[in-house]
Amino acid sequence: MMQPVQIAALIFAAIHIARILALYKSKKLPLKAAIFWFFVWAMVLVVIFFTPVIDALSRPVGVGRGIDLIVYVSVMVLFYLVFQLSMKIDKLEHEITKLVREIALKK
Amino acid sequence: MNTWIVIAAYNEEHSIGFVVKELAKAGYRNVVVVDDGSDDETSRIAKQHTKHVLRHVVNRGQGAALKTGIDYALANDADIVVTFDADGQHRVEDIPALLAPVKKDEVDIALGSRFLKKDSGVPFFRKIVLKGGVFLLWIFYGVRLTDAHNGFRALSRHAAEQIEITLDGMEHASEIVSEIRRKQLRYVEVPVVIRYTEYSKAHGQSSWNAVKIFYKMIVHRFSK
Repeated sequence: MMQPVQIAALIFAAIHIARILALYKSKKLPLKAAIFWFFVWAMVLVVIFFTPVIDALSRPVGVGRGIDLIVYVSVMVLFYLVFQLSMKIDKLEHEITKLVREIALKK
Repeated sequence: MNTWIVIAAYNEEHSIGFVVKELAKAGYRNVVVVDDGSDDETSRIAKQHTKHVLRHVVNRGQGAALKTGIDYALANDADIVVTFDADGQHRVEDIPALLAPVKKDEVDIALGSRFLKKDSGVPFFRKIVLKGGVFLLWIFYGVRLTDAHNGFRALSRHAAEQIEITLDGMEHASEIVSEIRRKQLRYVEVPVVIRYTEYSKAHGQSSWNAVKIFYKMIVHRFSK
């Protein structure tokens, strides 16, 4: 018997996987990114449907519940990604300024 | 001596004409206006009064605009570069006092200070914010000043070449102070009067911006 939360997650993951496939087919998403995001959503499904598997993985590292381990790891990954993004935006900002100044001085 | 006045202007169509005209009237021929991506008529009006108008295609902030103007002045063999505000809050008659110590080669950079005169006319709350800034500049960069973020300065060619402005926004003013320290530049503060008109108040920096500038200063301090 599926729990409501499992049904919701299944629908959500299915929509996203369909989107990734569509974006990849229309060449808006590179293969590497497509694989990465497909993997992310596949993991979500594993977590939702095979809770015992995750529990078995989490106990050896000292975390009681599998779902807790997932939350910890996710938060860490997200922080890392946000950091990466902000670095990238900073770099872009500098490049834009450089361009704008060059254009102003050329004319 | 080849003196250049650099003005960064963002949406200053109401004041830029008056400011540049006043400078011309006082005999300052080399005035470069950097229109920092204004949406209004700033460029067109500036062009009526000076042939040196540069335009940033998109708004990048005062630091970036000043840097563009300073580079332009240096490329045109400037011996001294004066940074001047576009909103009319700086007085043309204060320029000679700023230029004097730089011309005599006593200092590399002269900074305008609104607090060296007894009656500065600075609104009370603004004064507290500015003095807080002065304290932070001292703590952070070890440069003791009486005024913070006063955009009125005269730089020798040497100083203009040495000072690296990497921060695009208003934080560049703190960056200049940090560069004074880093590059071991000689500096002096010169009393100037800031005109707090309704217009300049509306167009100037809100005191809340000081908090944002402080934050960026911290980030900048620890990323170097």
